[in-house]
Amino acid sequence: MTDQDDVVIEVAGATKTFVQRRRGERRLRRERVDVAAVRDVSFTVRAGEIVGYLGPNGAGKSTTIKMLIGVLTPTSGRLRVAGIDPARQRIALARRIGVVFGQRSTLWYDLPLRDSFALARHLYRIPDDRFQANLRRFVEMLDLGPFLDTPVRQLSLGQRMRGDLTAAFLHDPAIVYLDEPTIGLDVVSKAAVRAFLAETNRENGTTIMLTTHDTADIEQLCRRVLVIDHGRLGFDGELAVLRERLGGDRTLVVDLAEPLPALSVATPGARVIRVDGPRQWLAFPATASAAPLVAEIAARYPLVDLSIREPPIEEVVTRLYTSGAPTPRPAPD
Amino acid sequence: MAPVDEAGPVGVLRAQLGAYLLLVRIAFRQAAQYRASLALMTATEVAATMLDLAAIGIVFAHLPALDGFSLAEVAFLYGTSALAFALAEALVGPVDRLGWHIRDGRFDVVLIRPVSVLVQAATLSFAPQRIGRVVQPAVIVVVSCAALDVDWTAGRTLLVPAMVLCGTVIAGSAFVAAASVLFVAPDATVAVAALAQGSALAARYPMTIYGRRLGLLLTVAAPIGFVSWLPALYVLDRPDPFGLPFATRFASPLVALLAAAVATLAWRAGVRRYRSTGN
Amino acid sequence: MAVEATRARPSEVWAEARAWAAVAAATAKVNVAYRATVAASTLSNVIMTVLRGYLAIAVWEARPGLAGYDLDDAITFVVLGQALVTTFAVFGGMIDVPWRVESGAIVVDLARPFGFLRWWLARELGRAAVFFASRAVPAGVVGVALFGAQPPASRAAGAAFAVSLALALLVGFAIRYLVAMTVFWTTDVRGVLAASSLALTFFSGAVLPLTIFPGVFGSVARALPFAAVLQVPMDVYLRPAGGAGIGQLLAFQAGWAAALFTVSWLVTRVALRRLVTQGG
Repeated sequence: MTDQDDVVIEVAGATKTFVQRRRGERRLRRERVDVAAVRDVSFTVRAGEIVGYLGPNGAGKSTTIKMLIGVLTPTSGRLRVAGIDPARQRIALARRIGVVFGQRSTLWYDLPLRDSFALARHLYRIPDDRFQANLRRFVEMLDLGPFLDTPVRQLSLGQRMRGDLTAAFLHDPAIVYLDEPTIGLDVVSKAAVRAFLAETNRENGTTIMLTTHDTADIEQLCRRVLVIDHGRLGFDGELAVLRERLGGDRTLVVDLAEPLPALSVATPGARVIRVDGPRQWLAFPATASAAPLVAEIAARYPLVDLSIREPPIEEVVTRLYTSGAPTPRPAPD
Repeated sequence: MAPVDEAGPVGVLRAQLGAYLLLVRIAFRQAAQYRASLALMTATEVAATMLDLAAIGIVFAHLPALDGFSLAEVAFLYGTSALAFALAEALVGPVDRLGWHIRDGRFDVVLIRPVSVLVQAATLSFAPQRIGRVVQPAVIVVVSCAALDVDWTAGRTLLVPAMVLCGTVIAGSAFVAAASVLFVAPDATVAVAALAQGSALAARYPMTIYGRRLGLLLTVAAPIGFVSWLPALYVLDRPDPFGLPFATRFASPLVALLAAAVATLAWRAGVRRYRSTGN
Repeated sequence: MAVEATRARPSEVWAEARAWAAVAAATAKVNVAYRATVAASTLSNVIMTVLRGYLAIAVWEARPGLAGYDLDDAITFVVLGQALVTTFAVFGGMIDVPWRVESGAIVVDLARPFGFLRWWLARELGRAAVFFASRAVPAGVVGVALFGAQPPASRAAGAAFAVSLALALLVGFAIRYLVAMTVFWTTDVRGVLAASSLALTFFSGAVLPLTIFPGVFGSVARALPFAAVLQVPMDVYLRPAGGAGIGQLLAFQAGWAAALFTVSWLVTRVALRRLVTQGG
């Protein structure tokens, strides 16, 4: 298979501008203002990828997802999902994709969870055997058994989200979009969601695209991240590369044979940031190799043990968001 | 602000009244935000009144009398009961918003505010345009009084405003009691609204049209008859077709008090239930 | 796959029918989920039917022949008509579109592989089925037991009445759907809702038989689509002497149903296009 065949999501120069009407000062006439929510965004996603889509609130994440499911048409540019123009063939596309909105359930509030799945079976025309097999598998993976017959309104947020995940995956969709699937969940539920996504991606080859503010989601699931800010795609690549590009410091932790005053090292950019008995912490640029620094310390001091820590992803993301252009936030999200 | 210990029952009442008026003012201002909608709703209220009047007019144009009651007498019954229900509805409001609030869990906000829950619930659905609904029955009362062929003694004259007042309290209590059901069944909004409408409808006509058994039931148990039927029998100087004691004609204030008490208890039970189950 | 080959693929029509049935069934379940609500609603339907039955007797005893109905016809009209009022949602509303647009939940509706208009119609069928069984039937039974009512003139008339009820449901739905869809163009739908509720209540014949209105006002009232919701089904049932034939009455309903559904379909297209270009 060539790369070309593998592409399931293709976005080329997608731009979405909204017309906002503002009431002019002391005038009845309303002014029309064009606000760009997404500007000239291009990327492709290959089958089987898990892509993290990052950006601050109002950056254009939801607008992009809505364009990909056909709920919004781009003002200009081209989108193809599974070879389909989403806005033009929204319903045909809907059968082949799954969507999870973290803040908005697709489940029937007053009915037992089971009933929402039964409805999905007929709406998505899932063959009987597939439906039964998938349901059995997801119930086991997400431990839905105890509350399958409980009305959704009585479920906790975590239970509800597990139900929403099941509903989105029951029809074996080729692509699933998740808009903040872990928002508001406790640690256990977050872990369950992540494990489920990782497994369906591995076992079924489902392509997954998720937006999130939880950096642990990205760290544990996504090799590739897209970063959008002020409607523009700022980064598209591996998480490791993003980390590197944005710099920040890595930390070398050394354990010495005896407590010493702060080491003085000659390696450029390296400096001691903390001393605690025989243990010392040295910061050095993320872009630099650790080898010269380690070699220098090992040569000059009684080194017993060492470890290297990557800059936490939170820091990377914060840096990314705050380094954006200082123009006012566009677009209703 | 007055210190708390000075308040006493009168002070509490005054504070709640103040809160009520404040919330009503806010409702007015909120309604003014959507001018087109407010205009349309006001127009609808006017149209509803006109159509209602047309419907009554058409029926009575064909009817010389209803169950032995003359047109003026029926109009008097109709006007006094409709006025009482309209006043109650303007003050306490229909209950639909309350049901939605309970269902969506937004009712919690109501509970944490330092204002009586009932005052807030009454103003939740306060609709300015509903005040207009009072006009039509008021006009009917005045016109029918002028048309009635009775000896307007001081007692009769005084009884007319008194019966409207008591009727308003009874109707308002019925609304509140019905609304209490929403704490148990928040989805019953439509049914509760229909029951309120049903009692308003039932009160409009001579109780005799419902036959002796149902008529008595409605009069005494519901107790719709005390809204206007029983005091009206005194004003119209008619014997009671059901043979109830003469004193029942003046029992409306007592029934109003009783109804208010029952409604208060039902409401408190509802709020207590909501607090304990959380829903 | 081997499995694919051996399994007979259900036809497109069958799959579509199953989807409709599933949506209707889920909605029906929601409508019976709150027992207390159903009980309260049934009770109020019964009470209203009884009250209006007595009122009809009082009026028509004093004035037989009013609106072209004798006492028996009038009782039948009022009892059956009142029993059906909630099934056809004569008081308006019952379609959730405005709330879903305002809250943004509409996105979920658009992400489904099922058309928007048909989604709401399928839901209406589920709701109406529950309302018919739990409100109309008990109220009708009590009404008939208390007051007696005319049976349908013939088996054919009974069948025609059933068809007429189905058409009434379609017309009533389309009217309320169009009202609900105004949310795409207005910031506050309450005004439109109130106005439509009034029009439906009054001009459907739920307050008074439309035959009571004289002159031009009466002619106009009987020609409006609202008449197709209650007045016309009752006309089909009672078939008053000198009235229009059953075929004509059904054609009147079918015509309005077709017209309103065409408009609904167009409005849906325009509204959704507006939504996908301008956002929620």
